[in-house]
Amino acid sequence: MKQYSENNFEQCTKCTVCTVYCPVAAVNPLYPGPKQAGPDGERLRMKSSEFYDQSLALCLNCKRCEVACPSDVRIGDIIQSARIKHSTKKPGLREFTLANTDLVGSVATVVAPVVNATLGLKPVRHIVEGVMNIDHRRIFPKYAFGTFESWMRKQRKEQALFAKQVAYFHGCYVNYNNPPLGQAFVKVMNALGYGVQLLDKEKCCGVALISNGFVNKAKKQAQVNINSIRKAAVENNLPVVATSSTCTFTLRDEYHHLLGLDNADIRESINLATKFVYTLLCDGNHTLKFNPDAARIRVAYHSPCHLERLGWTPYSIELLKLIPNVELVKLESQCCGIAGTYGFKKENYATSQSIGEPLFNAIEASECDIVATDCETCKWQIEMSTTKRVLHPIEILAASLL
Amino acid sequence: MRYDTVIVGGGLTALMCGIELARNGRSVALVTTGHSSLHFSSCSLGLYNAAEPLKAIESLPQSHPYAKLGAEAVESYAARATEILNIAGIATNGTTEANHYIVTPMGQLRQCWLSLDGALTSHNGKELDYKSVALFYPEGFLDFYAQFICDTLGAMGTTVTSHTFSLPELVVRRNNQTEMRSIQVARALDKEENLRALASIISREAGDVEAVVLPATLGFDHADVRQRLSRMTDKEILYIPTLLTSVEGVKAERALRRTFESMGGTIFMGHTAVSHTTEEGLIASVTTSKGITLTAEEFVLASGSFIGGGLAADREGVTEGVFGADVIVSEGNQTTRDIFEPQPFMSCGVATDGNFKVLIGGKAVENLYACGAILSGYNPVKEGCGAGVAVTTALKVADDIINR
Repeated sequence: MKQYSENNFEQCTKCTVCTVYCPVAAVNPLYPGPKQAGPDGERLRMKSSEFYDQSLALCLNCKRCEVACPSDVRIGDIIQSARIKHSTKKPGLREFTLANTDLVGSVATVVAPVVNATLGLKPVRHIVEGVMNIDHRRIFPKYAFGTFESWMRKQRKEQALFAKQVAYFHGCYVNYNNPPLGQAFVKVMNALGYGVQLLDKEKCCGVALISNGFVNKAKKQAQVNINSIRKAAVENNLPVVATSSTCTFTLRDEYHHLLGLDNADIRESINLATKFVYTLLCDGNHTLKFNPDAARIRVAYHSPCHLERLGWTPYSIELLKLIPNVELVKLESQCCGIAGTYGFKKENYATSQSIGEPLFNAIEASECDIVATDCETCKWQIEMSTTKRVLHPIEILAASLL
Repeated sequence: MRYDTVIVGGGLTALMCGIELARNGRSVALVTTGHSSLHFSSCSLGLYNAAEPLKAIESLPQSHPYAKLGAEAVESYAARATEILNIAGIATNGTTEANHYIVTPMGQLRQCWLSLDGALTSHNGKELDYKSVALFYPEGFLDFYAQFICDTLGAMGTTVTSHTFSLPELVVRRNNQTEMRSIQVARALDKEENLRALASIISREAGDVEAVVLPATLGFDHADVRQRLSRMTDKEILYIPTLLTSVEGVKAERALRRTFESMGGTIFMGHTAVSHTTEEGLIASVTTSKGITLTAEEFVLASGSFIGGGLAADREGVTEGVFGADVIVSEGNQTTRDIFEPQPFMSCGVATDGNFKVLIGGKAVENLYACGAILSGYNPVKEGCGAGVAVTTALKVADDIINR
């Protein structure tokens, strides 16, 4: 259908379906919900910034409204764009620390044991709450001692031996917190006959910068990533693959929709690991050798919000179904409540945990051994709020190989 | 990705067809832009507006979907649809023998074949089964016409008292007046403390009535809210459907989707089917707005009419966008001036053969079927048969695919 406005708000039929699926409106009566905050409010904001409502800051940017919408209105983009355009609230020290995952990560990985031990202490978490307004109940992800990039540099020669290559967008989480996930990805790709290389220069995708109000810095980092991906995808003709669903979503959609950058020529080259691997396994030319002695595990799959928005959840599920020692339970799709850095903030902690509660209950009731998900922040939230360990589908796949 | 059958659509029709195929062991994918028009449905299903619906069906013109099925098949598919609703945990009342009536939020009576268990109904449209009821609804609740409802029930010989209630959580919700809708009320009533507060208001104010009536806002995540309220108040609790979004409709879609997925079905949510490919006169694949190509043995078009996005109209005409199916548009004006009169455009739809195989360029495609609201030749509003056509044609198509 023809679009007249930037984010097609005129296609809203006021059916209110989005508000039914908004995780925030469900638990916080102060939030008017996506229809009112999005297309309804936009009509007024077009007249004057005075109509900007501070309650828009309550939006998680989960995009579940957009997935629910029968008219394909970009409701979440309307709300986020309005925040970027009209919000007068200046980000502070807390926002700076949460948003600059690159900067904080590169310092923390050098002294990881000290940082992990310190952030694990209750009194420290209370001080963090007092100074930064980060909730003391929130458990920080542990930092790795040494980055994934430094590990990859040691693999360069070995990886270059493979005739076929992919460029891996690892993201901050794999680099600073969980290099084993990156290593699992390398193991799977190698088993499929692909070598893995890094992009020329990778910056944080910027999702946390955008949500914390550092739009100019986000644009700068995005441009670095776009240039690197362009070199890999267009000049060297390599598929670019990421393990994080949120990084993938940000690179593909938010760069254009929220930051206004042109990524049209590289968008289709940016792929998610589960989709890339599943597609290879279905083409008839690729097989994997599974370990027949691998212990049988019951896996509950949680679909992250941004993966739902990408529309690629079925790939992660179908890939897990191919693993012989996995018995799969699909959890009903719902937001876990953390939404990146949102759930770290003291004022959002209660909302964040109430949103996730039905999911936490479903996970406990599923009697699974392990939860699988493609998003790192969902992993933190679920591990903090349930008794279960969370792995990426690629880690489960790697562990089942011979 | 590859499936046995790909269904374009995600509403009642698509889910009925999908569940029937999945429970017969086929791999099925649904492709749906967003959530369905069940969100605007009372979930009382109409078969056909007539004193004896099955008899009336026998004399319909050959172009009508029911005429293609025949009255006998309509009856047996209707029974099977009831069974599937039951499997999904949707409890209904009613038979195909004779219609009964529900009370609408505008205080009108409407014929139906099935109504949800708990809905306020009249078996003959002349009187209720209750001589006295108390109506309770939240202060500031949108689109609920209590006075019309009281007038209608009063005219049927039932004594009605009308009461509003408020709860602290609903007072906060009223800060956003335009969003004071059934879902928000239902979510509040999911909480034990709010339900107890409502129970004590009912116990205090209802008096000695045979039943208490509320808008259909009884629980969103919890299935047993009506029964719990009934136990707390020691009264029978009934409900009247609400305007959008309908809590019972949302719950029904959720229950049907869960059932479909539990049988191994896959839902491509947030995907719009945009194009197709053919091989030797058969449909080979469908590609979605997110660039995913789905191949299958059979394809089912269950994408609804104009509101569902299955049909689109502009000045040039009416089109079906995914397959370019032939569309039947009646001659002359497509609208009539009186909006309460039947509107000719509502009978628009894709052309099919006697077994609902879709015609493209006048020729039936052997592996492409259509069912539900996208079909031509009937007026769902005037005839009260939208849900009936949806479920019976969906099951007929599923049967033909299974036996193919």
